[in-house]
Amino acid sequence: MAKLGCEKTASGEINFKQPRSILNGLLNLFKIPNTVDSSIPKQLILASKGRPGLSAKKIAARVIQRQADAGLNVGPLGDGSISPAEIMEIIRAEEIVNAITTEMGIDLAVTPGGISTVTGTAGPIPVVGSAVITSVLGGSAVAR
Amino acid sequence: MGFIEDKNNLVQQINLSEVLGDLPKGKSISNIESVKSTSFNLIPFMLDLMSIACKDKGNGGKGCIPTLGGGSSQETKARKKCETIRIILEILVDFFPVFMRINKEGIIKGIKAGLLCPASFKIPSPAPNVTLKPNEFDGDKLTTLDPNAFPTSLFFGDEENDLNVFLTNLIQGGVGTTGVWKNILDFEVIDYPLPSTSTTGLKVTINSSYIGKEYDVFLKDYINSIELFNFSNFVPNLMEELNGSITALVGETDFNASLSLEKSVSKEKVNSMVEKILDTDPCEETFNLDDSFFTFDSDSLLDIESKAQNRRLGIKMVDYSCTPTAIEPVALDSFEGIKEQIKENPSQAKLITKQATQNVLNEISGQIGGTQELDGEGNENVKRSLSFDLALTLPKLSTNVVFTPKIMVLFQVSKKLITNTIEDFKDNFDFAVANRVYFEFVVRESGAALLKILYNQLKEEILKIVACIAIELVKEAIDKKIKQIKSLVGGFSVGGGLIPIELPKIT
Repeated sequence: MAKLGCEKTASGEINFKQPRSILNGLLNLFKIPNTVDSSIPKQLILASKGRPGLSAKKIAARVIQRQADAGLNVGPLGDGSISPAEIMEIIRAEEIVNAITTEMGIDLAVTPGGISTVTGTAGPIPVVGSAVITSVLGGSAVAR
Repeated sequence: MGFIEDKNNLVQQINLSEVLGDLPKGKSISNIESVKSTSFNLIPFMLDLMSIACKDKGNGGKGCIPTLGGGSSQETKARKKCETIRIILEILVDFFPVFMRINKEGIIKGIKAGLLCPASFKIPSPAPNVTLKPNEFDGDKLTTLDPNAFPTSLFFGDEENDLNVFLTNLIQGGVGTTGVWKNILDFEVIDYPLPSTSTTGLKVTINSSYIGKEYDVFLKDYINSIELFNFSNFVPNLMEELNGSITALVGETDFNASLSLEKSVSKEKVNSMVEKILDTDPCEETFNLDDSFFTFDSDSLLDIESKAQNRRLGIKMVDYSCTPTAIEPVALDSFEGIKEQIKENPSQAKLITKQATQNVLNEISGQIGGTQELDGEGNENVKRSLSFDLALTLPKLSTNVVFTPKIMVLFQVSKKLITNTIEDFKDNFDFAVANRVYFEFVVRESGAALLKILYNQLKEEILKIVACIAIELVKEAIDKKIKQIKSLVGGFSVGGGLIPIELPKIT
């Protein structure tokens, strides 16, 4: 027999005689469902060739500029010297960009399908030809 | 996950949500006593969490929920709303009906569990009756008091709904007086023979209309027919529970009606049991309601006796600010005649009660070093501690109602019906020990009633924060997508490759 106050409740219900049940109920309130981000049109992705690439200096500049948003002082210290915290931001950005550009790998899988045009000679078997995929293919990638 | 870890996690969730939602947090959340506490009584923690999570609507903060930081008048107003003492005021007044309803359900469950009541049975014929000595239904001698004169009237509710008033009038009518309570119970005041003398007793018979009906129907009809607490007198009774305010007032005018030390000790022992029960988790493997809940070592007994002595004087010693301070009897004059005021203006009942309640809370706040006005800039910690004490007193008050005639009569009739015996006991503590299952059930239900109200209020506040985060997340996703597309369709200049780096604004 269940102990007094420790009776089982229906799934999802809170037993207000059980402290842990109340805490679980409260923790569950913070759960926000994940939504799947919509993909960018494949043709548009091809335009990414024109992107400038990552710049540690630009990232650091933007972070330092936004320090004020967090209530931190921006600019040189009282004695006119450069703030070590801001130098640290540059180092941080450099290291992150360095890691992304030199250490990260991307595993790519292309979704099968698409239209391909085959050209070649219709001579005796075996036929040898070359195929050109004329549609833009989609896929998925995982960074590592 | 551990119990304390869970509590810590909750506080961090709120803090994180505030930061993610672009909301600087309103107050320091580190080192909160209730988070570190090993007690399983969540009432203080819920109140703390409430004051952390509570935000006022629409005062135009930076994010989607206004901040509590800073010092603008709007922000100050928001902070006031979130003070725990105000939360208590709302619970006492706005959530009173809900609190009573859950407590009534708890008493029914407690009686059935305590008496090992079979699932369902019918009231037999002839209608069962029970004959009770005064101490078997009214250990605190409530029926000897005047239900109409101030201050004893504060113990009673409306004549139509409070069975205690009905029984008091009946008993004071003398032997031979009879009465029928809403066609549910028949009463007769009798001469109860004792070995050498006799006393005034009460014969209680289940109304014949219930013969052949389910016991459950009788229980529900009975509990729905009575008023557990009177709305207008609830706060004075809370004060009585806190420091014996009404008893002290009664003792001033009528020494014979003052609380004896023996009764006062019994009351403090019962309250100590309530605290011990609420401090435990019934689902802990090692939990067992053993004798340790009802036995006290010499230090505890000294403490209990000291509290009992103070209660007789209407005093409660508190230590909120390193200096022991006495909460003295509160002037309950504003509650004199409040029932009549409410009867004349029923639509203003909440307002009238809120005002009187606020006066009392202001007075105590002033006594213990806060400010006289709740709206004033007082000592936050003192007010916080006071509101914790008031909240922790609530389950004691709703538990102690089981010792009053209106519930004791129901218990004794039920016991006679199910076990063919009645409970003979020395005092309330003795009764609680003898009926530990019933008592534990009522205590846990009383605590659960308050926790449910706090949870629902807290849920409302947390959902506001979570909604804010959800909005921020959606905004972030849209913003990201727009930036990505803009960067792909010419939102950045690659022409000359000379894009100025934005310089920090130095002021």
